Amino acid sequence: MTLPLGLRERARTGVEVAPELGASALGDMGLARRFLSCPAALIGGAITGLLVLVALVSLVWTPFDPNAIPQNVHLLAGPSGSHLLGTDALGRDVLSRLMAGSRVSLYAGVVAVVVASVVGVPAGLAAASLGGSASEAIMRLGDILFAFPALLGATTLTAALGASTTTAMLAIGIASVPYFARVARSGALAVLSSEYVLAARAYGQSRPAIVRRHVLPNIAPLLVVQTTLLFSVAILAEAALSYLGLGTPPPSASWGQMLESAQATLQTDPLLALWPALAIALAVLGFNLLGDGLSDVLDPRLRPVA
Amino acid sequence: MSLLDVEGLCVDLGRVPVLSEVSFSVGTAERVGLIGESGSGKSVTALAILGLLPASMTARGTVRLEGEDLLAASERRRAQLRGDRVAMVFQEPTSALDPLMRVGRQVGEVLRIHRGASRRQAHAEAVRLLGRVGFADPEAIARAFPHQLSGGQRQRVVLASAVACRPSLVVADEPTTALDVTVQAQVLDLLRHLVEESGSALLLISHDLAVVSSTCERLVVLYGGRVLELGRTAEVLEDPRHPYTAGLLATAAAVSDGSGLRGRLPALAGSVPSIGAFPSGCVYRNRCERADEACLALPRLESGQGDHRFACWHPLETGRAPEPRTGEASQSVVQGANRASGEKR
Amino acid sequence: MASFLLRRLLTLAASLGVTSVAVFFLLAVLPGSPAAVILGTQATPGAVQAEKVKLGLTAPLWDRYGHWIAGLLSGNPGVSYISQRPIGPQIGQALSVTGPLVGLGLTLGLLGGGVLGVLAALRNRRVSGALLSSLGQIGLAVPNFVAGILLVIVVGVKLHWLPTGGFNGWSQGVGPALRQLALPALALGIAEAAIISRFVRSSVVEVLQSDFLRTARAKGLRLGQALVRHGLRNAALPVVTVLGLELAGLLVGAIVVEQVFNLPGLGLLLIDAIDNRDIILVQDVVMLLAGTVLVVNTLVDVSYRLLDPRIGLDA
Repeated sequence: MTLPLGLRERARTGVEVAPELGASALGDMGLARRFLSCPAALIGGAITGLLVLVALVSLVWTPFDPNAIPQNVHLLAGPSGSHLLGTDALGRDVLSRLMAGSRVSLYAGVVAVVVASVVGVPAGLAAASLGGSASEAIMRLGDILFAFPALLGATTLTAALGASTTTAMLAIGIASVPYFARVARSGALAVLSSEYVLAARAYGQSRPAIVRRHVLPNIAPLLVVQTTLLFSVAILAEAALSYLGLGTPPPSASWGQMLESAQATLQTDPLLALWPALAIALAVLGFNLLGDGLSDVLDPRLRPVA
Repeated sequence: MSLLDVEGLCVDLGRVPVLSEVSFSVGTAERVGLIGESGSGKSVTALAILGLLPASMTARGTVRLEGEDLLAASERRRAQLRGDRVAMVFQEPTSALDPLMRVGRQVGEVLRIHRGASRRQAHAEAVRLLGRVGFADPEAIARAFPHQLSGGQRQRVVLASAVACRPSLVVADEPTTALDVTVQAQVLDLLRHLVEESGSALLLISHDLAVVSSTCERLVVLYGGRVLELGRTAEVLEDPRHPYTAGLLATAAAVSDGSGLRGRLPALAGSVPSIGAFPSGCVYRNRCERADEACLALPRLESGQGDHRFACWHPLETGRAPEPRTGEASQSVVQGANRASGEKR
Repeated sequence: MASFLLRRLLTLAASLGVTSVAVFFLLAVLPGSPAAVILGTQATPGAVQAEKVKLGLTAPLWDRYGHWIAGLLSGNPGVSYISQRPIGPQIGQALSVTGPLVGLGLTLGLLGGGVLGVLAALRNRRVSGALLSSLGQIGLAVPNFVAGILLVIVVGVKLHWLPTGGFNGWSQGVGPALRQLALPALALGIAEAAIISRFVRSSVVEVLQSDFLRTARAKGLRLGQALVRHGLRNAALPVVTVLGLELAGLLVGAIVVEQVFNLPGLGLLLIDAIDNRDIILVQDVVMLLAGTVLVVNTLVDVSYRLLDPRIGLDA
């Protein structure tokens, strides 16, 4: 997919960070105020909040069973009182499937983020604190991964292991490892070269203790931003792969899959394709805005000079 | 009629005044120094004259070059005059040149714009100009990219393109500030030499009294976006009437003869307020020892001897040094500057 | 210069090697076997085993890898397990669709993104600039295959302006062929334009604040002229660095968009091959795509150094 954009912009343009301010931003009271006065963060937060809410509600309630094919079928029914968004070609309620699909999208994001951060952050921290040829080796490996298109990797992996959301997102997560590693490394390098870390070392603090007490809290805001942006990448990738039949297998509802099946009846029922299309775009927009907004809110120095 | 007449020039950043009622003039082939600390509005004055103010700033008043009001002129007309009749030398030679274009083309560009020179003519003229600014191998310099030159060399390139069209006025904004001390005097000498040769007037902007006093025939002292004092260099230096000017002189003297290292620097009290934070009335009153209630009202530029004028309710008395060292100080500034430039020649 | 190129080429070779090993071994653990697909669900295990031997699937993995690589290097990507047709011409055929599609998408993306980005930069901190930026955000949020489907609905189904699917080859003439590629290319180009416009915008904003642009204006150039003569060249440099990654994005995007418009390109070839468990064809297509991306990235790296006089080639 072309979209690890926010991630990529930061990694490429190397918004070099000396994140002492970021840590204090996590703690101070102005954070909420800054968040509320940043339109991007506010709109993004509202959209993603709604998404999470819908996903949670769908766990306990949807208007109809999203996956079961009903007996008394109203195929391709238009919007009505009982089916607010109509039914699909198999008579299933579109709204229920949309709601259930939000779960898949968020799950995709979680898997990708867990993989990318569990591998990427320690790798970046190791590269920063070990230095020398070990660091060089880690970052070179990252460069190779960086150049490999994430979605192509996901396609290959699902081709090998069979279509599944988890497999696909494993690939997206792996492809995003370099982004997390780079952010962790550049942030850690900035912190490690600071005076207060020198002081901590003079007091005899161990290396792991320094990483835990000083480095991690300092790079946390940056990782939050990366995480948010990776969610939008993962949602996009899941949708694309499911659309290709390589992601979430039927019958479980996923937005990409809904698009795929709606395409057969595009001539007669274009609305059927419009709903999942809107859902995907809205979710991606929400996480992108939230990520951009958070990067402004958490680190005032990244804001353009007024 | 002077070559350049600035009258009642006001520049606002949004609603915040940056320049207020600035008036001064520059005669044909005259060298005038505009002096002030950072934040005094020197650079804004230069940009306003050239019509290059950032979009966030608006200018009022009149700026007449050879009788033509530049502020009232269209952008098209101003672009015709820029580089041709009035040229500008900026502070940072490192960033002032396009990093992707060979130096020769950048110098020749002015001639292509204003003289309709062909590529070949522009190149030949650029090489000649680069020779004039003292490069031993101008052909090689013309082929170089800016990053291959030193700071002093780059500034000489900028000077070459500034005088290419023999403008009637060269505005130089801190042309030596970003340079190594050792090449500052050389570049300053070159600048003076070039404007003399092409018959241009010079408006030299600097925070450095030594730089301005060694080069310019007249001085304009700017502070808080207002002109506090102006007059012939010798008069202003030997007989400063505004307490601010006197303070500047005392500081410069202490620095130049090293007495400041031994004793207390007779520095100006306090620091320059930020834009928009200057007091009402006399802009200098919150730092001035002589200030009293009278200074709550805005002082006008009063005439002193000849064209020596100042804006102060409590001016220093004429002919008497405000502080014991000032008379001597001004001379040592002048001499120091001359000595420096002489040695480096 | 020579040492830089050499080092860059070595890195490229190493990356290609690592990629090929990863692709090959990942696919070698594929659960379904092409032998089983060929023989259908009724086949006995014995028959499947015999078919495997026939296809050369029983040889040691490293031997099969060596055989595959040797074939690729000599320009022979092998023979499809399923259709038993040589893969080379199939890929060539598919490339004649995907290549122009990606080229058109990139062109549209660069044109649209360039214009939008410059405009947004010039209108920076004004309402119209914010509007352009929001437009970019929305463009980013609509993935290319979704944009494709929306285009089919609006332009194809409602307005009947352009064909919405299929491709009858270049032999029908350039005009009709381009008409069939127009909507897919637009779908690719919209998202691409949104991405590029963001890079262009930040790059142009920076240039607009630069001293050398002010110098250019002090020489008598008007803002527009100064931007054309000095600004855009400088602003384009950082954009060049992302072109490699953008091309990668477009190639992969094309896979999905071809599915939307039913275009017989690399994407359709790849998805069919995955469905059929045609491992060797999957390997070839993935390797072709990944290799193209790696090679283009190397080219971008080298050309960047050629474009920027400040970075020496010997560094």
